[in-house]
Amino acid sequence: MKNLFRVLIIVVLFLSFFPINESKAASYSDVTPNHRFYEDVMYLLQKGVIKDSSRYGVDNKVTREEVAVMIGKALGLDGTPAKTKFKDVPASLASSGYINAAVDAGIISGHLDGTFKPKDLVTRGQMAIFIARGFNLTIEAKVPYKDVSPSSAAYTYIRKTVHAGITAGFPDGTFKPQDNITRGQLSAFVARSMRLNEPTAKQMKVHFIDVGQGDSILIQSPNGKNMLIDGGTKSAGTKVVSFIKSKGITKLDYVVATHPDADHIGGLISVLNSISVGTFIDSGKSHTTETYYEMLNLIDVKNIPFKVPTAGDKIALDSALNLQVLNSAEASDDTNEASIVLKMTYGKETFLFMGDADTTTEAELVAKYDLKSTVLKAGHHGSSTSTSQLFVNEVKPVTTTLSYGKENSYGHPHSEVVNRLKAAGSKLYNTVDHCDISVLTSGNGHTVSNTCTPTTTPPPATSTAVKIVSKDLSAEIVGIKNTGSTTVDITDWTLVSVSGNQTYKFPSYNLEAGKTVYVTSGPNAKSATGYLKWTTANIWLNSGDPAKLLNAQGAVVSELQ
Amino acid sequence: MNCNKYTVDRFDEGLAILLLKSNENIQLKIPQEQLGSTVNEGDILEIELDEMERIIKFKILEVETKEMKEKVEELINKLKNK
Repeated sequence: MKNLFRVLIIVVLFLSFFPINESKAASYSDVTPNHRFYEDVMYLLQKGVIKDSSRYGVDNKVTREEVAVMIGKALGLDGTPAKTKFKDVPASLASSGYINAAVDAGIISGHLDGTFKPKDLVTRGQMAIFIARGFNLTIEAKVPYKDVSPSSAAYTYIRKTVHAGITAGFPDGTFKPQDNITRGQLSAFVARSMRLNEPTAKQMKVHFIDVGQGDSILIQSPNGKNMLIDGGTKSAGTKVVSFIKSKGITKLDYVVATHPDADHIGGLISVLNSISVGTFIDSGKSHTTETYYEMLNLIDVKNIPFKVPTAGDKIALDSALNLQVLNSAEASDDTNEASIVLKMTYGKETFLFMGDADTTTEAELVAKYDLKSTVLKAGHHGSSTSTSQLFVNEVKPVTTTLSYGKENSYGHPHSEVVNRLKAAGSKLYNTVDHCDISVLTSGNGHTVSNTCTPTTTPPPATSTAVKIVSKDLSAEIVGIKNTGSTTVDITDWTLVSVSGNQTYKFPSYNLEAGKTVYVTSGPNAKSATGYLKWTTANIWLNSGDPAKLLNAQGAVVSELQ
Repeated sequence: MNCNKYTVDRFDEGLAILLLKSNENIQLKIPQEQLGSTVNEGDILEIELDEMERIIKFKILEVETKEMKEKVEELINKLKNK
């Protein structure tokens, strides 16, 4: 009875160090967020090494059995109470299992007299020995401490903990190896040691596949999960499938159809026919095309779970990611407005996939969410229906990708969108100049690789729409008109007075469709809306002087004799 | 003369993108104004084209459009409730 009483006391004492009260939030009253060991203690709590309680006892001295338990838990040793070879560690002692395991692992040894002395306090020097043994530290570094003698037992072990960056010592250049270690110090030693063994952050890859005019994005998550957002047009399906297979992927955990337009879902038919799909996420916006029906039919026949998300939903692709649906509007009249918009965060990197969402949706999202992102897939192939200034100001993308086809019928991308993104300092990549674009990240910064590089950019097809339409040599006014249907960026274009070989370089200027800009010179030269001032000197010879207009690449766009 | 059924996939930058119903790999892009203001995304049309692929005349196949809409909605509901 007496013995049992003693055991109970020990258990109670033990519990007071390792409280089991889990009802409270992680808020030790003696480890506040500004405490120097706060992060280490929280790390141990998160890893299950310690338990939550109202007080941590951060300045308490630590015993040998406590060290055995904490290191044992940190290393995942078996702590089931067991019989030990030590006469003072009975199986009834709660720490007996961890003491046994720590001794077996060569971390702590007993005493010559057959005891373990579980209640003896541990010094900082001894702690260095236990840590170096437990976490297999092998490389030694020069000891910067003035109070650690080369003849001391802990010397080589302290050298190892210094190399591993586990010990910081004291500001006065001492290590105080004989001082008893506190619970806070022990926590820091153990947490830092555990972090050493954590795998380095895994890489994620996001591929913007060149599908011509359309969208298709493949995500390879840090833990090997795969998701496809859109599949381009039907004719791009074969390319999308071979691209996915070239990455060694045999299963897509998720496929997202942002909205039912043919340039986004067409290629998904081939994907569904060739690759296993875990869950299909659709905007729920119905369409009457055979392509959309065929896609649904395949999902039905293959019995693929089908989800229509609502804004705010999370997608459980990978626990390393935070992947959220920001927009999904099945009730929308317009297919583009229905677009599923996704925000994906990995560490410090955030990707924003806009589908074909337009400026109205963008404004709604700006009001509702924090949109700041490192990588933006701009909406609607770079059309001016998307990517407003308001939106760009919020997103502040480091990198922007634009997915569109060469010489497409839609005039995508629109120069105002490209200029707006450039002015915001974003690096731009597009599927025409860069083909397949891959963004790689381990959660802190990203790199971009691409399968082709821009050749010397040919003058955009629309530039031929810009013409010199009038030339008044005596008034010194030359009119340049955009006869096309889309805005043309004439920044850095030049106007040449052929006879005098004088050259005027345009400032940053977008010439809207149907608009004329007048380049003025001579005494009446002026800067105003629609007027640009070359110089107050007379340029044009009144007797006749041909004018030439060259684009930014130096190609002649228009001439007027 | 060439008379075929097309579905209006979308309107984009003033163009109507029409998919040939019998083979949606084939698309026809025409200025949206040629269809007037009565046509919506998703409408199934019967279109008569000249050799230059300009519309001679067209009509909205309202019954066929409605039936297709119902067929698709039904399938979406089936998938949602699986």
